[in-house]
Amino acid sequence: MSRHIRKLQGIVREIIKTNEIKEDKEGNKWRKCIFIVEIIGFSKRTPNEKLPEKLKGAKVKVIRWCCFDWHYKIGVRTTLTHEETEAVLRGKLDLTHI
Amino acid sequence: MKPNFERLITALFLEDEPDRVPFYDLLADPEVIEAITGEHLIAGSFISSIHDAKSALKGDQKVIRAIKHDIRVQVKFYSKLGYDYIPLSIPTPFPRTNLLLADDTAPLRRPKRAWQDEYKGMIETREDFDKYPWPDLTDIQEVFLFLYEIARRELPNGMMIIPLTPGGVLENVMWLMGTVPFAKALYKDPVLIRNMFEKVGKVISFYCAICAECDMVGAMTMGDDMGYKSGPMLSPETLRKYVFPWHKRCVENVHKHGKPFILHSCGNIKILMEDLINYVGIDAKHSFEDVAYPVTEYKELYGDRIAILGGVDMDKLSRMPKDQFIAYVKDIIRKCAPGGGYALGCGNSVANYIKLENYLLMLEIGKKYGRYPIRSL
Repeated sequence: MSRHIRKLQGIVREIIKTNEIKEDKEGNKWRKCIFIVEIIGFSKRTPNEKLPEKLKGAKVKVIRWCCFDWHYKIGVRTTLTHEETEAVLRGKLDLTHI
Repeated sequence: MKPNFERLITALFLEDEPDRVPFYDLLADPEVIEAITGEHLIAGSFISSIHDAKSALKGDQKVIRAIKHDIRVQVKFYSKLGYDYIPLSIPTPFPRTNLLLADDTAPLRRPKRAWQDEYKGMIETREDFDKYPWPDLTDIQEVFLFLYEIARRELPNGMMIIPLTPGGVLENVMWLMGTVPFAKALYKDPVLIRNMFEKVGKVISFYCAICAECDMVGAMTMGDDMGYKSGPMLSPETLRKYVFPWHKRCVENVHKHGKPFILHSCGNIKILMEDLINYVGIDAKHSFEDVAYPVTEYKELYGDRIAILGGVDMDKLSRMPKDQFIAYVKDIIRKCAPGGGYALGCGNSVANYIKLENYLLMLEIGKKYGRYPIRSL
């Protein structure tokens, strides 16, 4: 069950706004951003997973599209997708192209 | 947006990937469900306790049809409004008559509003304790499974069930004893107090265990009000001695099945939060009130360890003008949603005294302004 899929979490340290903007069906404008995330561990969903030493404090770049003011908040926790998590565990830290 | 329980479970696991903030409410009053769905709930008039339910289920087709109808209406209500679960509870296993009735002044009024008689208990002495018709665990299991099976069949794809305990451990003891006799017995008859908590604690923890075993149960909620605006109703020492060990057992029975445990507890219980997080092991806290224990403050203090649910103030839901209310709800989302671990909802419950316009507006704002940053567009 998806409940047991492992997901890494980190703190958003920086958000780099790109010039790419798209509009959704409701007319909201979404801006493509690069989030720099400092990895802190796995989500509570998999409490027994241990973060490999080499990844403690590692900074990962991920793409997120933002729309509302609160999307740009720094210092908050964020969760990587399962695909991003597995890529980071394989040692890939720049995930802006996956 | 279709129902998707994963939306809520990500919040309970402190993740922030859902498409929007999920919605969480403890329950909706029947009057609200009727007003939104345009249908009447009918089973309540037949069943007021587990004893009634047990005898009805032996073959009273009229009651069984009424129960099925009511669950169908509830599913309609919660799915239509954007919730990803339905709450499910059994009638009380601890019937009592120490209630005071008063006229209801709510916009969607019911014939009478019931209040706890604080001075009188069903059980004030050892004799009362021995005479009380304590429930049979098998009856509780039978009634729950009957309701669960109906609910399971009615659930749309993507939705799950969050059972709600029929009152909490402390609540049921205080309701049965009456606040004043309970307070006196704490000093005069600690053995009676301990026996009361054992009787009630066993039932509530058993209920948690049987609920959590069921496949379509996604999480468990216990409502156990422990505080006033100024602080807990009992000292932390008393709660640690009599209440928290039972709470912990309830949580363990749910965690055994990998499911999260939500605690709804009214009152300013900041002084108890470390016990609840570290010892009891709750996954989420619900019930907030702006004047004394605002959701935004709890999110800031505890949001890195547990999910924070609801918190849209009941007074503002009841009275705040529309324009101010929109700004107010957006501000809660702005402060609580970043990073996940938050579900939008009422500070207490979808009570019959709140303004329906504000309630529906809150959900609309959640659907629009509560959308999370997304991986790809």
